[in-house]
Amino acid sequence: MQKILIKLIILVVLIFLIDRAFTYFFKTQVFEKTITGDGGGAINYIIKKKKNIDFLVMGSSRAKYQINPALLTNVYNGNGYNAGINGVGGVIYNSMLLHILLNKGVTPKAIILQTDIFFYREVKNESLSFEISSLYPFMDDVPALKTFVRKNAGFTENALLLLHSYRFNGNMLSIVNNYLKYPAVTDNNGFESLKGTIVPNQFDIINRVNKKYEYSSIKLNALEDIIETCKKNNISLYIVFTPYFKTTDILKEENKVLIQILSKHGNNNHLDFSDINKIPSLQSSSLWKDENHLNSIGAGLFSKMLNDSLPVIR
Amino acid sequence: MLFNSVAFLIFFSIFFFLFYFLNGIQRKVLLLIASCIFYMWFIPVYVLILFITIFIDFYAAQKIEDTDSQRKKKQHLLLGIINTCLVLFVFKYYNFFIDNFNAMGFHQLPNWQIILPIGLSFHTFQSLSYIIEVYRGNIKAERSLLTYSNFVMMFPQLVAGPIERANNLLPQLQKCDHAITYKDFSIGFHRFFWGLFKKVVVADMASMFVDSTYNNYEFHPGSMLLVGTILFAVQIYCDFSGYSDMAIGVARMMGFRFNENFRIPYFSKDITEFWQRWHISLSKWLKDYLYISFGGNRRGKWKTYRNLLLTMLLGGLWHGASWNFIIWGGINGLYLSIEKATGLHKFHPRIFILKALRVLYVFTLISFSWIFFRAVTFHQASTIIKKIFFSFNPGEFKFLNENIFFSSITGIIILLGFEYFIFRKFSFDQLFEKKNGDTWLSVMTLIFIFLIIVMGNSNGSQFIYFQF
Repeated sequence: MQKILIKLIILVVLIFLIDRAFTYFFKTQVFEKTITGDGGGAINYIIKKKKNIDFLVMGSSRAKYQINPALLTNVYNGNGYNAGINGVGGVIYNSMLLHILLNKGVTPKAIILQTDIFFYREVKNESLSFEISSLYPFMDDVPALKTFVRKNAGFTENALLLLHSYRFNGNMLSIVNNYLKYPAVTDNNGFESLKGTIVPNQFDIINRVNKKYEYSSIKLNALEDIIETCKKNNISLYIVFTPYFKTTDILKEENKVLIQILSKHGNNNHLDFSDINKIPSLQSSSLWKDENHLNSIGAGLFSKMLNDSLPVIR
Repeated sequence: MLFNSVAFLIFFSIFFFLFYFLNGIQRKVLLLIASCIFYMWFIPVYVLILFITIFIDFYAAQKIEDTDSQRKKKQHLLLGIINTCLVLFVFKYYNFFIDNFNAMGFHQLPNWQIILPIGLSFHTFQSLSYIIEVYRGNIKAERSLLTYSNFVMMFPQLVAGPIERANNLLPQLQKCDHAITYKDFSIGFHRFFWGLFKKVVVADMASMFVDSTYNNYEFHPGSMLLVGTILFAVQIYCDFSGYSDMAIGVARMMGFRFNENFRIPYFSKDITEFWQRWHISLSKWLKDYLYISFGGNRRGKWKTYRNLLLTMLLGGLWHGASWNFIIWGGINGLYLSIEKATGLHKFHPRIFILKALRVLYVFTLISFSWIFFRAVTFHQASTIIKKIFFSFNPGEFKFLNENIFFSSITGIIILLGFEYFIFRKFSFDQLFEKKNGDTWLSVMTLIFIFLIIVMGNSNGSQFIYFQF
């Protein structure tokens, strides 16, 4: 037993040392120098190059590909950055991202948060850590992120996070790839446009949902956290519900849940574009890449429409 | 409980410490309790099904041994086999037969809404082999219910094998007072992490691309379905052989020796060799109890082919109650028969390029059969095959998620490197015996652990073979 225990202790110590050494090297020499990609690189870009932006667009791919900050001229002359993220831009991600940015000295005057009600629905056995795992590299710098993970990510995730290299789990290769491929990037505002058009009638989502949903208290709390953090830091917060190629009535109804939370905190800045029936100019299929995303032309039109709906802030 | 979970790590650490210091009957009791906890982690009540098969075969074997009359021995054997198979039929095949009866228009019988107990086919086959061996007089009937329960329920092999034979495992369990050596622990420990690497770095990462393509096969072009199929071939190998490595490793840490279940099968140069290296414990089971019982190769060429085909069809059915599994078994039976008829498996090329081509030939044929294994319906499988063969355009290929795709490919390259340069030539025992072998194994394990942390899928997904 003695020999077995010695072996295990040596291995545990070695794992610990390699883990810390690797994390230190990778974080300081690779990650922090990476300024592109969804694995945290795009956040580094904001921290390094966009500290002086006046407003921030946050949300999912439906923000990233549909809202062009340059066209939001009513808001600080369009001096903003789009921090929308493909795939995982739910409300928890955005709440944690806000804490990271504030902590790193990025203090926008306004935030335009694109959100969708289905991000808030209770999903059985959902792993919340999936949404925020790309933010793990910033864990040491942001107490709010650490607290959230400790409380909500579950035992396994917390046990794995004892090893710091796990913070790069699943993202290491893409970080290395972005580090090598894009050592420098041209100045950009984070917005990316999609090319191509939807095949009409390929998707029919009109009757996609027609039932009552439960909403996750953790996710609703995350929205409240965003509202309160903005209040505390004198940031004007606007919530935007972006359109779909085909409207679902239930979404309109469901959005009221979020609107109520906003009003509870004294915020009435919500802009609801979720009903495409009320937006004839966006109904043509030639403006859509797929049923959830406008293409580059559609995004341009929508951004202008959004700009017209926002108050003039200078 | 899953091997690829933190819960198992804690469970095993506590168990191992106790197991090390206990002896004899105390060890046996501990092993049984641990096995029950391990199994009940999934659906607790199903442990009763296990106990039913244990009781049936435990007493059937004793009756077989205790009677002198050959006729009565046979009766007890049949009773044991029928009762054990009945459990399997009720839980696994009932709905399949009802669906087919209904499809033929006989009756509209209702389906039974039930979740299949995990690893049912594995432990029923293990029990069956035990009573058959007792009947054949190859082993003595076990007189201790505790020992026999451990034989069936021993947690490392309970839910997905290897299907252990009584002549190998029972003697080890009878005394259960062996000393756990450093060598056993060390080899088992390293083997466990090799299996874990295969599972979470390769299989689970590949599964993301496979699931995306196969679950939405109507929307994906042939090129993506082809890559999905190739990745599934890798996924199922790493998932199942990874489990076997972990099971063998865990048992070895406890001082038990399990039989090998995989011997780098994708390096095989013919289908016959592939089946000697893939899921060895099942292949041997099918050979010993079905193929040879059908007459094997003793009754002429055509009957040999028939026996091969029949054995593989039943092997397919063992995997699951679906026509796709039967077709999958049939295809492999056909491959084996054709190889036997042409004598291809007797031709051993010496030139590297020819060897590589033979490996490619095996991989291609086996991957083709996996389409039926992975697809849920025959329509899905046939659509995928049509798309791969008749609407193949490499230009339409998309990575879906570059990060996941390239992580899978990186994992596969690392796996191939280790298998080709190390595990093709040396077993873990041989590596340990080499100069500084233990140190090198430790270095390898550190690499595996590191890769698991930074590249592994930590969702704790189940193993494919649990469903069987």
